[in-house]
Amino acid sequence: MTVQAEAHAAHPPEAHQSSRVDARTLGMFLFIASEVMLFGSFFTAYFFVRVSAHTHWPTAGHELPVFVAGINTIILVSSSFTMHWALQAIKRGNRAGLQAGLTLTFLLGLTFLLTQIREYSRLGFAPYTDAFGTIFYCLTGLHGAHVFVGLTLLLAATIRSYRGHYTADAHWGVEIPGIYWHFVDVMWIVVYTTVYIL
Amino acid sequence: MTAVTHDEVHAGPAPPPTGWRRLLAPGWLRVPWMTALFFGIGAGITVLVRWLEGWDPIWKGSVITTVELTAVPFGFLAGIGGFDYWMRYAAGSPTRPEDHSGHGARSWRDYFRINTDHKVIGIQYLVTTIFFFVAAGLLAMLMRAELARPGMQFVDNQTFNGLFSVHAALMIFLFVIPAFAGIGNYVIPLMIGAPDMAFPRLNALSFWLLPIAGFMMLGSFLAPGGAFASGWTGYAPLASTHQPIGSVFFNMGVQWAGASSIMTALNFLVTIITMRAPGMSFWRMPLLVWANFTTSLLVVIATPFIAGSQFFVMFDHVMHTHFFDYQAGGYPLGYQHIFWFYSHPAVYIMMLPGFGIASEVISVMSRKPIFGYRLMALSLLAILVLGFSVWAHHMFVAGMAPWLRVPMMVTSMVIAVPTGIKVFSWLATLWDGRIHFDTPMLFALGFVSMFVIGGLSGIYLAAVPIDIHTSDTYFVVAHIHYVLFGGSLFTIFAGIYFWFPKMTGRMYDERLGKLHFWLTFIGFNLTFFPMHWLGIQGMPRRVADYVPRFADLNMFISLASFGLGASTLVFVYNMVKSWRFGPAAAANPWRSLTLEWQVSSPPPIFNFDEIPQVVGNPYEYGVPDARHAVFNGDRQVELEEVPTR
Amino acid sequence: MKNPLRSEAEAFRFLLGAAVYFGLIAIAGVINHWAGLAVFVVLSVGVVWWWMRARRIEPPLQATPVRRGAPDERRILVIANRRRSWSSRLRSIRL
Ligand code: HEM
Ligand SMILES: [Cu+2]
Repeated sequence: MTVQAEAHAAHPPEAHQSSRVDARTLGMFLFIASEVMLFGSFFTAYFFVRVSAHTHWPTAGHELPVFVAGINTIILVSSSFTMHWALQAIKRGNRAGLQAGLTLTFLLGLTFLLTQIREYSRLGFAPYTDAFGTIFYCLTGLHGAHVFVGLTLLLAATIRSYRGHYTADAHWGVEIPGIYWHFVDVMWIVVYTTVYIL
Repeated sequence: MTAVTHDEVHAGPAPPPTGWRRLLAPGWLRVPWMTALFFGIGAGITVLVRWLEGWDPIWKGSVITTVELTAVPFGFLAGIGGFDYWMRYAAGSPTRPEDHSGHGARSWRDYFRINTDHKVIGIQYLVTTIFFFVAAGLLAMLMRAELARPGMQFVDNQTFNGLFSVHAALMIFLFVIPAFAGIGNYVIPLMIGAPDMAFPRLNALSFWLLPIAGFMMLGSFLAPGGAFASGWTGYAPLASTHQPIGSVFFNMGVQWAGASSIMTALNFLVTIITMRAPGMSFWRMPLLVWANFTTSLLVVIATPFIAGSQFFVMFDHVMHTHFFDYQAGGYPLGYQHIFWFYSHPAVYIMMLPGFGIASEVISVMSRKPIFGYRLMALSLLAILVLGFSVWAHHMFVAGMAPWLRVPMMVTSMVIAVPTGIKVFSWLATLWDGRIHFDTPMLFALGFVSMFVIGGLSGIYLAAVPIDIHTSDTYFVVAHIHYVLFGGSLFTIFAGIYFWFPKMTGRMYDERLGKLHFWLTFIGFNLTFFPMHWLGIQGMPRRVADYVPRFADLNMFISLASFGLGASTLVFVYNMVKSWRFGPAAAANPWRSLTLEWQVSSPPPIFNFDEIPQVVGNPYEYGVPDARHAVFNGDRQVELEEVPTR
Repeated sequence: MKNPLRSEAEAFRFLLGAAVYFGLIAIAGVINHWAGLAVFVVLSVGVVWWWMRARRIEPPLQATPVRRGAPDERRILVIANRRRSWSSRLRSIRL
């Protein structure tokens, strides 16, 4: 057994890189694949309820705020643009751009979440009212939980950006939350079109 | 993370804390108060929300329990130090390399800390899973005691239901699945020539989720009303309406175990894809690596479905939602569809790593190249794909759409083809080989023979008419034990004996190992084979009492099962004794070609002082001049005569 | 075939694509259910077709091992035993 200097004992030596994909990025995409399946199970439950209802959808007495949710969709999608902008900025070494982009993204995401909560309190039905209520709250709630997780990641990236981290060639700490954030957006587009529009 | 990350600032190691500051350092001193703190936070938020919303009562047992089953484990993990690094990182402060980045274990205490060394984690996994294996086995002994005679002897019906539910849940989620993850954790980085896993801290975290899940499920016996009692399948609406609060312990336990297994699978996939030694193409990977690769894909894709299904049941139970409530527009059968869409692939999660272990052991111990290497790998992929198309064979009598039956019957039977390819490959590998009957080989051969019996009863069950007759009878119990005990468990034992010298640096006692095998093999067949008859004659499963005409066979089974249980003592004794006092093991006692045997036993802290260059296939036993890998890029390797044993 | 997702920039492009994809389906679906279905089928086939054709042009990975031993150090890693004659192997099996 070779004697390792104590100071280095904590760091495994660098492994041979056998793939072009960066390990962290790959990890994030695989995690997203698993998240997509989690949404898949909720959508399965959604379609079971919807198909077995055999009636007009949404079932009688439920009005969904399609317009407000549409505005909310635009807010969320634009937050992806600011995210992308933040990353492009740091790639050129522009720290101010990174900070502004991340802050804006965070605020837009927060707006989305708060609007969503506000809508919940005005809907007039609850998760325990009937199966439609159940499935509506659980699907949008699951997405809300993901927005929350995304916001946490963004918050960390934002704090770090203000404390002088990240440079033009070392910014995976922004890239990984960015990927997750785009996933959260794509998922919302899917939820919005299926649950609210179609 | 392995690479030196340029946007991280490392501080030097902190001085060891003294006095009351030790309460702040990650470890067991911080666990109690952190756990209490998180308990308080969970309860506080719940009460606050209920008070603001004006819900009555403000303190509601079922809600508090559910919240705490999430909050308390987080407190435990935070206390033991699972999040310190990430917290520092997120706040932008300098991270400390020794924040649970410890590698290697210097004393037994290091196994009770957060440790990021894949070798330490592998052993942590194996010891933990064997603990839960013994616990679940004791529950089985209780069941067999109750079933030895007709009528009610020791426990009442509800307790009996709890016994078999917890038994199965522990065996599946806390033994078979994580035991394979443990072996994989130890062996995979070594086999592919990597210094560690891709995400060592995530690896440490995923291990510590396991004891949480396990004690949650065991702890459900203490919950008011008793343990969860709707089987490991937890069918709704039974589980969501007519069950005591213990059923939430199962829902949440599955979530923790599932999260652990998803995180490990992610880690395996990233490690295998990005960290293979130079020259190790996919077609030069050992089959154990292939097996864990496919299994991890299954885990990543399928496990979220059981997470979903358990969330739905829990919401129905605690929040009174209506996923499975027909009256309010829910769809009761939906549970079974979603559950089995995970749980059929899960039976392959419980079997494919075993296929990998068997391939390693059989090839090494018969001194022959594995027969049909590529087909072995491809059949794994075929099982992966087909495994997602058969779930409804568990639902032939559930009242689902009748047109689904025949397609599911056909796909189920088609799965036997890739499985058969593997069995024939093992047989062809053995054919004409120079077979060494060491303990790992005995278990591997026991696996092949027993798994064939289980596979055959599987084909029977996949045929709709036979299934309608035998559904929910002891025939199914026989089937699942021939595949899970005779299949998964035998390969786990094969793997433990095979890699024991590598893991501990000591040799196990071969005579005790053989004794263990024969006791297990005979006890297993005496216990489970008669269940086929019981099932065909119509004895239902999951009952505490039965009609007297089944009495003789049941008495026989119970006696045999006690013998089977006792065989575990031999195993535990052998492991404990050999780990402490066994003779020192050579680096490569089995004369194997794969990389993990080319380093010392146990391996150096970072596995290889130099990354090997892979130049050939891993199973070229008996082929002159064949090499799997060389060090120093040196391709002129001398051929050394090895004495045949 | 290529993996369309390897970085944030690609994820962002994926998001734009998804917005267009679902937007078109939603618009068509609101106008007429069957039109929505048709747009869905056409777009999905198009995406799959594009994906099957897409290729990345990249240089192969470099594959030299990292040396950590002494430069003149030479070690033997793997030894396979000799193949034995057919008859001696048969004898060993009948043991
Ligand atoms: C040739 C391959 C196999 C086929 C065709 C097959 C078929 C089946 C069928 C049709 C059932 C449903 C019986 C019923 O409930 O009426 C069943 C149950 C089961 N099988 Fe298999 N099986 C196969 C292999 C396996 C393997 C490899 C495993 C695990 C390692 C496994 C584990 C189980 C378990 C745990 C159950 C019982 C589930 C429950 O609790 O209801 N099977 N199998
Ligand atoms: Cu199945």
